Amino acid sequence: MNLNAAILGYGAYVPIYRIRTEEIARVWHGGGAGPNRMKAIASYDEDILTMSYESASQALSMANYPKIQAILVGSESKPYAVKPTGSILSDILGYNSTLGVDLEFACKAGTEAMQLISGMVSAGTIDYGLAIGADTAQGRPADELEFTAGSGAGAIVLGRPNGREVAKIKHSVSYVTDTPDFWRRPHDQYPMHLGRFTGEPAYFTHTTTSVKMLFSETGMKPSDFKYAIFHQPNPRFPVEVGKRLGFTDEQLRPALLNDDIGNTYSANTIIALAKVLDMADTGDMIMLASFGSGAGSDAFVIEVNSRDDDDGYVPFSERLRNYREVDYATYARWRGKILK
Amino acid sequence: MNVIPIAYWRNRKVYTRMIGTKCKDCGAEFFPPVRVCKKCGSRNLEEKEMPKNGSLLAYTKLSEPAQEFKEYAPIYLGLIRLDNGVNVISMIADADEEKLKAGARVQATVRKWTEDGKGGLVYYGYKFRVLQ
Repeated sequence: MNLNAAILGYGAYVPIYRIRTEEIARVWHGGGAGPNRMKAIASYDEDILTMSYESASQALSMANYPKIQAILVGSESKPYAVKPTGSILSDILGYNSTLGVDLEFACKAGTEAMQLISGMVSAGTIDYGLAIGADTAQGRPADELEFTAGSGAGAIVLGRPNGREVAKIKHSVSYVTDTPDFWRRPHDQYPMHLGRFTGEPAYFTHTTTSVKMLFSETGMKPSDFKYAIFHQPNPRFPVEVGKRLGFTDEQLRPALLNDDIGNTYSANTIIALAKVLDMADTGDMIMLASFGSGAGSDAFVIEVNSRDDDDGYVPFSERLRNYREVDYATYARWRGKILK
Repeated sequence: MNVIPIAYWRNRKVYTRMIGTKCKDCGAEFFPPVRVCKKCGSRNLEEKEMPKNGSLLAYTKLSEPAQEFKEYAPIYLGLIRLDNGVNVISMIADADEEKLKAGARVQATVRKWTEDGKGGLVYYGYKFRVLQ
């Protein structure tokens, strides 16, 4: 679909705490490591509401606090099964005359929020909206997902292009099928997955299909883009899918984060977009493709404009350099993995 | 659990947005909010959101906190002077004792204060963290 929406502000938040996958492997496998070096973990007093607040505060500050009329929060780790995160957040942020909605589609709920608000803005039904993807991802102890399931939040303030926007969202497509690669039933604490099945039939099929649809609808090709952002469930998949679609290392490398923070699920591609927007220049084109198990992929064409210099803004990559490592026992205590 | 859900709900903007009061007669600001100005005695007050930045004056470490916070021990409590001069006592988020020095710049955020078991409400509120 053609879109006429603009990114007016963006924010990315990753908790300060990390656990090395070597530490997880030491506990469960007697040694070794996961596919990534570390993952970010939320502290005992953090959840998707608090992390959404952090990322939204950055995005709203950059956008100069416009009158938000829709707050959409994508997550699979909501603090309540029934009680919207969007309404709690609206109260904390001071926007009560707004739509407050929670979305879920595994790792792509955040880009769904982006796509829906972009559509509402383009149609003229709202002037400004806030799209958030946030997760404190659950990995069953000793399961391979535990190496990568991380925590983080990304937020985007969207409105119509006004000449001073950070970037324009020009086009988006989605591709979804019923694919049982990963799921979690009500009341279960941890998700189930089908191991290697999550690769070809799920991640690669849906991501390549959505990006090819995007190319077909827009007439664009990989060389038209300066940056390519793919969902990063591990360090390898985004590079491999990018290469299959014809992108180069130079286009793919700037967005890569999994080795340092793991898979932040619904926040994954929005955080990567924030990292890329920090370094992008006017006129740069960005291709972004999310992936959510179950399964589906949203793809976007984004054109960078500019960002007002803000003395207080600290680039995301710089913030990532400040972290503290914790051991498995602390991680298990904080994330509710110890029975009391 | 000692938190009363309705009492928390009535004060939620105080707890999450740090809404205090400002005297419209003498300009004094207060947090938490007051009904009568402690400086000039006026009842002519308005709501005022407090600044989110300040400086740490002192802190203490609680190894045996109240029941609601027991599972989060140790808890760090800071005495903070906001940039408008108002003093606030707050829990410190992501506390690192090496960085908890008098004069350290701090910023408010929203964190989970406590939760009422697995089925009860989650209570959110301000906490301050040391700026890097």
